Amino acid sequence: MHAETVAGDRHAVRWVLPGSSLPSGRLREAPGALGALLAAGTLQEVRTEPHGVTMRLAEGRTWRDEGDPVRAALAAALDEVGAWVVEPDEDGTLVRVAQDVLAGPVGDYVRSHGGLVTVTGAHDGILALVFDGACSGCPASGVTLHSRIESAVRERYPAVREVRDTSAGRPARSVTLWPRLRRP
Amino acid sequence: MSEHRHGGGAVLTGRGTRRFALVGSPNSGKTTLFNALTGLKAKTGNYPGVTVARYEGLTSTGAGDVIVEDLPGTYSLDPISPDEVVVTEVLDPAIGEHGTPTPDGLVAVLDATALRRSLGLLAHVLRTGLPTVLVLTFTDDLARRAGSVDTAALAAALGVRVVPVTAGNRSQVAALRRMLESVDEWPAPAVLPPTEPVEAAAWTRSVLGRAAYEVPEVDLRTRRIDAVLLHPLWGSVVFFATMFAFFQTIFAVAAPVQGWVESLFGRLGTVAQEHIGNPWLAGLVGQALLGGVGGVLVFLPQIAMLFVLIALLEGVGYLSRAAFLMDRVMAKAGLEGRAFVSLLSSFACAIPGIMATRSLPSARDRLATMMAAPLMTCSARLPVYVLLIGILVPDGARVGPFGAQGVVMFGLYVLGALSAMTAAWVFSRLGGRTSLAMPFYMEMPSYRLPKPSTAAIAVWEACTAFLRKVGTIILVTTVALWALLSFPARGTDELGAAGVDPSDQVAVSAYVLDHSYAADLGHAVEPVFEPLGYDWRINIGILSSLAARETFVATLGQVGAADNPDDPGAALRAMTVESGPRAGQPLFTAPVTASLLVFFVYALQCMSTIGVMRRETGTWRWPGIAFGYMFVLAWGMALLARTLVGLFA
Repeated sequence: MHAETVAGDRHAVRWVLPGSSLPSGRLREAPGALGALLAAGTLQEVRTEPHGVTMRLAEGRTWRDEGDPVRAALAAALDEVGAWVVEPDEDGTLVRVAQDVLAGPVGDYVRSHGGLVTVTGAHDGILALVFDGACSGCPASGVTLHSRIESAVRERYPAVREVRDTSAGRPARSVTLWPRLRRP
Repeated sequence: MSEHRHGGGAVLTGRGTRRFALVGSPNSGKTTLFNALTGLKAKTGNYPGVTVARYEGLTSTGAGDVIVEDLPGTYSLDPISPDEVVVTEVLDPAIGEHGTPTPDGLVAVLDATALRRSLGLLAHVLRTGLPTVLVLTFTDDLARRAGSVDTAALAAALGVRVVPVTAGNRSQVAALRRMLESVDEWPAPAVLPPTEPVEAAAWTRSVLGRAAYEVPEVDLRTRRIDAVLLHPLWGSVVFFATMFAFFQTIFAVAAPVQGWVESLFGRLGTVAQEHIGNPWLAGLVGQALLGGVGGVLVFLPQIAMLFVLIALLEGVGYLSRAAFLMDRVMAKAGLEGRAFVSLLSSFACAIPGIMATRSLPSARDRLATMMAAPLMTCSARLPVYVLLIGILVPDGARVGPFGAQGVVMFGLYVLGALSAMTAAWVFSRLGGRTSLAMPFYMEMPSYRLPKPSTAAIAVWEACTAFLRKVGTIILVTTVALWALLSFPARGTDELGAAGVDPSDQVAVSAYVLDHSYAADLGHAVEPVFEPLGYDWRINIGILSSLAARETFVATLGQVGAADNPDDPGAALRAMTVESGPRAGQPLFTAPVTASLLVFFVYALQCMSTIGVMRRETGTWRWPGIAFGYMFVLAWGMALLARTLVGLFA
């Protein structure tokens, strides 16, 4: 397991847990030290996804100090995943995963040529995206959708049923150079 | 998270020059990177454990010059060996406050082809809390061997920036340099990686999985070559054949060049003789400078050749294999593999060998190796060997298809190596056999084409070091000896009384020489060396060689130059015993020459080595013991050699 920073939130880290298979949602109770940290409020929020756990520390605490005990607590708790109480939130997890993916290298690629992809929601395992900026009307956006975004999302959330471009029904933006000039 | 990186709080650190340290495993390409950054010429080798001392240099960035420090290669920051203690101390801010300055940032250098093993070190480095960037080296090797790594994902997983830098690629080095400008903005991992073994293994697996790391295949070429070279039988055969060819080459290639240098000094001698009026000055220049110091300088081609060959073997990656082969033999005798690495360094000079013992974790093995290192044939013995072998074995003599001189030289090196290993074994037994065997990693680097610049640097450094030695310790000893050999001056009356014609220059200088202070000194130690067949002239040579071995050549050159100023070498060959039962017979007979050679194999005649031993052990006891045991050993073995050769010759 290792921890990665979460873009834009310095109190949060995501523990990457290869080989684990967790229910998706928000952790309410857990056995052992992890449960204690959660109950004591040291961990303000713990969200689970199939191969990872995103944790948010309470204000005033730092990962430098809490990292080691949290790692040990998480490692111990992973031996008893059956005892975790997770409030299910599959679609919310899917949205969060997709937002993470778009904040990372995949999003960097899209932004590198003036594109903009936003997550509009998820329902029943179907993720809805809107392609904007240089992407709108671009014939290659389908390739980006499937070969880059969908595969990256599926890696972290294998249960995703479909990734859908919902921008098709919206009126196409007038063709101006405006989005190209003002890169996000 | 990031605001705690410097731990310093509000104290301004002042606007001093920023300091960065390169940390990495042995053989990770750290020193090459250091050279590329600083333009300094630290020696690199395709061979673990080359950086023993600490090197510092300046590199310019857009934000001004910064100091870059090359730390010794280390596999972990658990200070097991003295080397690792150095690294740990540099990286520990608590120690930095009173002593070694703590770097402003660390550049962790990891070999991309060995990431699985090196991430453990990176975990230790990140836990120091100092700002860190990761440099991945040998990414070209990784690609060639069908491995891969996603550097962006690796950076995300580690929480630090990752820059690939393959050996000396300018634009990549420039990217790193730009990065050094903005150390305050370097990202740091939110959670520090674990170092407890089980957790660390899980962390490494997870990080490498995220970075889609594909383990490189062992290079097919390397694998095929190693199948032969690391084979217990064929490998040893190849090893000995290589070493044999090595010494043949030294003689075959360097001898003609040596001839040119010799004739140059011969001509200079004639010029000096003709143009210098003052007899004292003429004596000083002709005898001490040209005959003595010049006599040593003649061996520069051999020294250069020796280091060219060592640099080539090392650069190709063969020396690691040789160490591996020998390690198997040594392990049977209960000796550390690291000890052999240190002994191998002593091949060039005992001083780096003794310093390399810092990588030995156990104090007992460290001392045992230090006691043995001076027995390895260092390059200072080379001039003595070449001179004496030239007297002992006629030019052009052959053993089968090989030059006999090269064969004898090879034999002397083998004798030195065997003796060194035996000595190390004996000393480690004497020290008790209680200590635990420590794990020893010996990396087998891929075979790489040696970089000509690296070889050139090695040769240049060896030659300048030799010249420096000639210009200082050898020059001083030689001039002092010249004084001892030329005084007291004899008046015309005395010469007449002794039956020497004062107008015959050669006869006069021979008389002065025979009745000089040096002669008294040489006669005084005669009882010690009498059984070996040495006369006072050789004794003086041996006494002077205690400062540095090459001085022996200089002294004999002076003595020879007094007898025959034009060709000191011929004078040596023609020298006869002056008194005693062997009076009138040639001095350098085969038994005497052989016993001298053997004496030089064993005796510890090097003040620098003794000084380094004192520094490394912190007491005069160990250099004292080393000097004593080696002298006794040298004397005994020389007597044995004289007796044996006397039986057969």
